[in-house]
Amino acid sequence: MADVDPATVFVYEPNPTYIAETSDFIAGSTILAGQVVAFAGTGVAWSVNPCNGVSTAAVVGVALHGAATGAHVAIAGPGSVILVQNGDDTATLEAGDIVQAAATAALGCVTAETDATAHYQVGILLEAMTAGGSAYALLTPHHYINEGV
Amino acid sequence: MAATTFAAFDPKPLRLGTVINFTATSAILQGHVVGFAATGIAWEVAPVTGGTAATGIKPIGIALYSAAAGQKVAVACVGSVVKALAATDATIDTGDHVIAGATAGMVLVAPGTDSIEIGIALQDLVTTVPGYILITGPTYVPTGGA
Repeated sequence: MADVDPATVFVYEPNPTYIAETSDFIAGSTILAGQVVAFAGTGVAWSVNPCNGVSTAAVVGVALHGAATGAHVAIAGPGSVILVQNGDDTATLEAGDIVQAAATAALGCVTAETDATAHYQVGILLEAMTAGGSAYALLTPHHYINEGV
Repeated sequence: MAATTFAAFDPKPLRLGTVINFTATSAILQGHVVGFAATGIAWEVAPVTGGTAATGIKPIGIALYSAAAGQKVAVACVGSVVKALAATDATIDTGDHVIAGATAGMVLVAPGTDSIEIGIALQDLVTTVPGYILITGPTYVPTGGA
């Protein structure tokens, strides 16, 4: 497994086919269009950042456009059908796979859900995802998966 | 705990959240809980049996109408309030989290083991009488998880 480079892969529009709950947030750091965003571990009101799955992990949704630090950014939330990015440039995923935020290096990307550690769910893939590619997902964030820890 | 027999019914949505247009990989009856097979195919769903993680089945919503294999079918997904049918004679209480049941297209109370929840019952569900659920998932809930 190798993490993708966010600056290299997030060069597309997330092209939502359906936008459900959408909210206006402030970028706590630079956000690229299509990145999964989340509150920081110590949350700041209405401030989101690219999700790193660790300290910035409470998933809100997917950024509809890029935003510099301090700028407003529209986030597609639960129920939206939108492209998400594979954080792994070697692993493929299938339609129906539930995904969570990827590892720290692959900021704003997703990976197959695992019960190894507590995490936040991002959504379910509606089509296959190639290694390092993007695919449509139905967003079902806000679910904290605790694995009994 | 005998399984009920599924007969198509109108899920009578009180609220539609996200509705997705899928293709039926096998015959789907109106009101069926549908989802992806263990080896998923893009944008294709079928009635699901079993919502435990071990089965690999990924329920995603409830069919708004019947469809033959290969036809398009609109599926009420997350945020929708629609009727579902209980899979066994055991009553599902209001507030219970539900998964896909052992009988195709029906729902069952979420177990204490790994499961993939599809929603929460908004009223008591008994066999033969569909009742309302709020679709909140799919949500993977590992053993001991919240």
